[in-house]
Amino acid sequence: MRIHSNDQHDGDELSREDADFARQLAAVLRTSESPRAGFDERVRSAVQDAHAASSAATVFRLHPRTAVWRRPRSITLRPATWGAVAAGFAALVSLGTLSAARTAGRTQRPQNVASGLQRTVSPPAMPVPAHDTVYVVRFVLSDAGARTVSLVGDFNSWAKHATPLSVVKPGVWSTQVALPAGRHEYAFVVDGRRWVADPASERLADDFNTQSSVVTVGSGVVE
Amino acid sequence: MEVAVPSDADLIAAVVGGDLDAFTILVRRYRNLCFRFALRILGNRDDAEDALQEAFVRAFRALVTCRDRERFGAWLYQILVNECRTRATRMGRRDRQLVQLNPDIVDPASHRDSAVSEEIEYALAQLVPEQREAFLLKYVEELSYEEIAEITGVGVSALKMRVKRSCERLRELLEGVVR
Repeated sequence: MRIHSNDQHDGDELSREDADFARQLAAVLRTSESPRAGFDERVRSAVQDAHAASSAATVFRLHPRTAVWRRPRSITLRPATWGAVAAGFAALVSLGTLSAARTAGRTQRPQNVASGLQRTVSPPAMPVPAHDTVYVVRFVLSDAGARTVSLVGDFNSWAKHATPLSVVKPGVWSTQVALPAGRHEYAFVVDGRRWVADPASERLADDFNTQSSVVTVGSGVVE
Repeated sequence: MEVAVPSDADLIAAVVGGDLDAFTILVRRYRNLCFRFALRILGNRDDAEDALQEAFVRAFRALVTCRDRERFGAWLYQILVNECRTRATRMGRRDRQLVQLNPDIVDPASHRDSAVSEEIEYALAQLVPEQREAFLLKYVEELSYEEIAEITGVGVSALKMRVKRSCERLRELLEGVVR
């Protein structure tokens, strides 16, 4: 028996003959399949059980690594602190991150340059007590082909419209975010759908192979 | 009257807000495509249903970490691929059964000879899991190499090689059956 074949040209590296052969097999294997009756109800029941179990937990429905950063924590931010934050932010804008870091007497992370994509994360320190310090972190992505870039991370609930980056010079996108001390996961979203981990920073991959990056500001310890 | 179909992102937002019915809609939206993949990978309906159910539950638990909600389908596939890999390893090839293709849906004009279908299923079962996975995602699910790379975490070059070797192996196994 000869199974139907078509003459579509395939762009992969298979020979034309192999690609046609693969399509013949796929036409047979592509027949519609569905789970047996009752499957939806079983899934619903299992999901309800999972929901009930997670609701009883301290942190629920979160990936364990992410959950660490969503746990309720006590970070004291007094009005005076916010004043310091605002002052620090203004200093950042006017003096630049390098001079801000020198003023604070802390090590400035050098600018990383990678081919294609590059960005810097500059966590300048502000001279306020550690327990209520908020750091202004500058995120920069160089991507000449991007039309929009946004920043997503555990600090904005991974909402891709929450923190857009602005063009600071052709092909260079930047934004600044006030972050508490600690370790934060983040990534860039280019053109609203392309997920870009920072090529110049420590990377993480979750259980589903989605890569993100990590920035640690301050001592990395939240009191 | 126009009825708006909620996007995946809308449904996920509803689920995260506590609406479990919205998750049921997602299950219905993706179950058949995902089931077909699981069935072809694992080779029997019981394991395929169990793998898919577990994948949906894992997806539900981790839904707030689905970072690009408009691409929920690709994210779900990642979970399912991992689940199938785990189960396939546990099962081993000796437990794999031949799947009778759904006789009610097969196009009789193209697939009149069910023996050929069984031969193809048997040949597919002989592939090493990595090759079977790559072949199914590329040719049965018709995903691009870039999409497969995102789902499997395997590089495009390696995927192309797996697909190429899977085709070569299938041709050997099906010589005289499929021309």
